[in-house]
Amino acid sequence: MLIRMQFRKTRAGRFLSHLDLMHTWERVIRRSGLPLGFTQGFNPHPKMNFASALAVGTTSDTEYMDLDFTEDLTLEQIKEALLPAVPPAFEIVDMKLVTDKKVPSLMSIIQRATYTIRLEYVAEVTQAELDQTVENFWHMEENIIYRYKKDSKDKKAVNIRPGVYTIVLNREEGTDNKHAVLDIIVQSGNDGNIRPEEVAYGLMNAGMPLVQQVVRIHRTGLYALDDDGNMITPLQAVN
Amino acid sequence: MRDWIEDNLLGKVEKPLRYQGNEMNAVHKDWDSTTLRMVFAFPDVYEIGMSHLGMSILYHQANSMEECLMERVFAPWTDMEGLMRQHNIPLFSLESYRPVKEFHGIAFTLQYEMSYTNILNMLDLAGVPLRWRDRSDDDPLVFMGGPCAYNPEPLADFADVILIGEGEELNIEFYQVWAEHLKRNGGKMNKKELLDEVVKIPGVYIPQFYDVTYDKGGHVLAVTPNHPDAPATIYKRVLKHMDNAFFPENPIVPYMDVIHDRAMLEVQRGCTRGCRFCQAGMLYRPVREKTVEELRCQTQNILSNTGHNEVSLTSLSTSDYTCVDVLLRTLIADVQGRNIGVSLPSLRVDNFSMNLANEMQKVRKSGLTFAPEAGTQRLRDVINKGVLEENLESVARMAFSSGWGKIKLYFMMGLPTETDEDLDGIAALAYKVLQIGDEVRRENGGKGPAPQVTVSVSCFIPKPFTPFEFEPQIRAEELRRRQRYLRDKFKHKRITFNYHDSQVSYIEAIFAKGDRRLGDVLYRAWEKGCKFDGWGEYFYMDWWMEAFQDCGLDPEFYAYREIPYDEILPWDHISSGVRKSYLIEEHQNAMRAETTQDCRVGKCHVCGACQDIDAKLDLKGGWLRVNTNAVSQD
Repeated sequence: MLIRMQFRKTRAGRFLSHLDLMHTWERVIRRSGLPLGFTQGFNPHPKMNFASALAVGTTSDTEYMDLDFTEDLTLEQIKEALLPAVPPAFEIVDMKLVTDKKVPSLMSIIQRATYTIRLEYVAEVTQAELDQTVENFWHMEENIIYRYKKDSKDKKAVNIRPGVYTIVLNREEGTDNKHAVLDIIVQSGNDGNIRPEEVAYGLMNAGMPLVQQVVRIHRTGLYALDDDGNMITPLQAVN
Repeated sequence: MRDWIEDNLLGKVEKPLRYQGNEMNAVHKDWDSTTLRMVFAFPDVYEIGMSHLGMSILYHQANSMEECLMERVFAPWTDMEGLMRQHNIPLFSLESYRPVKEFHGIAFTLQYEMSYTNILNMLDLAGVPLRWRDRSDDDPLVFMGGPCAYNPEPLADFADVILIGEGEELNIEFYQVWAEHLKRNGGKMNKKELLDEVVKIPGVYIPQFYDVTYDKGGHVLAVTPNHPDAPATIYKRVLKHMDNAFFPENPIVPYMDVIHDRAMLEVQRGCTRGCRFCQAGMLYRPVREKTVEELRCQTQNILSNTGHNEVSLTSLSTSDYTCVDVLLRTLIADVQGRNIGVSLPSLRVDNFSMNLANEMQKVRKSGLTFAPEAGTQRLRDVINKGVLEENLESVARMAFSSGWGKIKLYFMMGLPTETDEDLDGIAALAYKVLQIGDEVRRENGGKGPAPQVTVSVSCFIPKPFTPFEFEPQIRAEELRRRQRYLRDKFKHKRITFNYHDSQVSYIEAIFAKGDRRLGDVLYRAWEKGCKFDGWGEYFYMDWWMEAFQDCGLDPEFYAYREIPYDEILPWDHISSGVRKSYLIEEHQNAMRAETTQDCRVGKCHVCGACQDIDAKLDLKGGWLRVNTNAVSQD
């Protein structure tokens, strides 16, 4: 039986790579004693499928995985077994039984992601400056950032403009006037991925003051699109 | 502090999970309500320390005591160290992110000599004065243990207390006295009083309670206690039985991949094969086995508490465990259908071991390692490594026939009495194994990839407490010549030849058999920037040689000198149980190329381990089977 589960990647888990995360979840399920299915073959691996890999250093409230168990269980039984087995890196938020045998894979349905990003500027900024850059951003026809390949100097130019749908940029009040919070909705999934820090670079292309560092990135949502183009969560996407 | 470090530093280092903590089964105890607060300091990176079973045992055992708390800290890698120094972040523990300086005690484990500079560097990063002389009652007490603690003399300036032998009982007694002391003093330490109390615990060695005098040539004249309660000889502590010994069934599960990503089960302690180069074989005597029932129970608990998909049966020589076949069959049956593998980390060169290997589930048949150690029968007899050429040949045939394609052969170079003929023997063995592989492949119709042989040759380091402690190390230049000599013999594209850096081995040999005067050299080398010496990229021979020069000490004195039997050795006041007279006897046997049988086969050689210390050979399955190995030649 198939279960779709939403979990958090907490501050304690933010530095897990996707591979670390998969290994850790396998051990969580093994500790729980739940009957997880394994693929056949010489090198069997657990039947766990994830929605989307999260970059190292990023926290998230909205990670999703599908788990295939070999026996029928109630959601209560599953929760009860999992809770004591979950390490501080994760928190289980919600889960749903998937009855549709032909449900499309999690990875294939993801279209949108939302993020909250905390930025630290080199110097003090004003809200008016920030508002102006966001407006500039929307007026640009293309906004090029460069992606570097791992262990190589090759870079690829990417126009992020069409993949960014919403930007809210607010200075953090009551601090040193050097911090701001950026909320975005971007393209995500198999049809293209905009990384959250790329929107910050794109905003600098649009005249945003120089960023000292991206302090924190938090994924707040991961969505599929329904037939009308509305954003729905992967849990809403199953019956 | 945790938030700031996570947000501002961890994103900038290569492997942030080394510093993250919060793993499954990590123990977070309440600081204020705990009497004695300690931090276990592993002087190497996280992924190495977390693969170390001894640390897991001592950590969980200390935390199982109500009045004790023990957290962990590892040597930060150079990227993290740079950031910490730049931002004035002191060394902090993984559990509570508290500065190490705030703990009552720092426990260092001495696993290998080349980690000593890391100990100094960690103390410095912690803001703790390096030498005990410079530390006050407000500084933590620095204590050390582990295999290298049997000759702790190079660290005598830095350690307040050294714990000799196995920690399961000794450490508990030490913590209890310490906690009582803290309670009496309102949570404060009076180190003088504390040391006066703990020196009475057998196995506790306090270097400052001994004066060492030297003759003009630098040889030790005498090691004399200067404290009324300091014993003239410190005997190691040892567990009488391994049954019911504390064993952590709730080990920490790292988030990142570590060296040994599996549940580790200690099946026995000690090995009496009697290989004359092997320090562990002498230090951990006698052999004490656990029962199959206990191991079975521990396996179930560890697997369900960790979620690992592999359990490894560890010990110095697991295939010697007298119940190993019963144990393996039982465990394999127990984990049936759960996609869990059972593995043995080391196999002996004999058919019995090969049968075991074939029985194990999910064995990846990619590579198999054998350690003949030396290239000729004569030299194998000198080192008492009971492997015959016929054994190796039949095992190689069996391995290739059962589907292994790569065989790795492990040897040592520079063993006592070694000549070029022995090196020729290494080459001949490697070619012989490859030839067998080719024959087997031809018999099977030439299917599959062509067999490969890897020859790995390390430099022999004479270690204290072994029959070879009297032996000089072969000079680095000569070792390099032998490496070249051997390298030229391997021109085959399916034989890979690896060898170790002879310079690192030289420094290791010096510190293995060093005395107290080396404390200054260590300090000087650290000042120059030495750290992570075991990691090739950070080893700077020039700095080490300069450090010796600055301190006016001759490194060759320690490594290259033949030591007469009657010389007082810097570590003679510490006893592993094995008597020096036995080591001398064994050394003489070695020089005559005479072998000595494993005492598990029946005959006691009166080495001292069961005579001078309250311990006995404890075998659960009767005597070791002689017919399955090649030791029985005498």
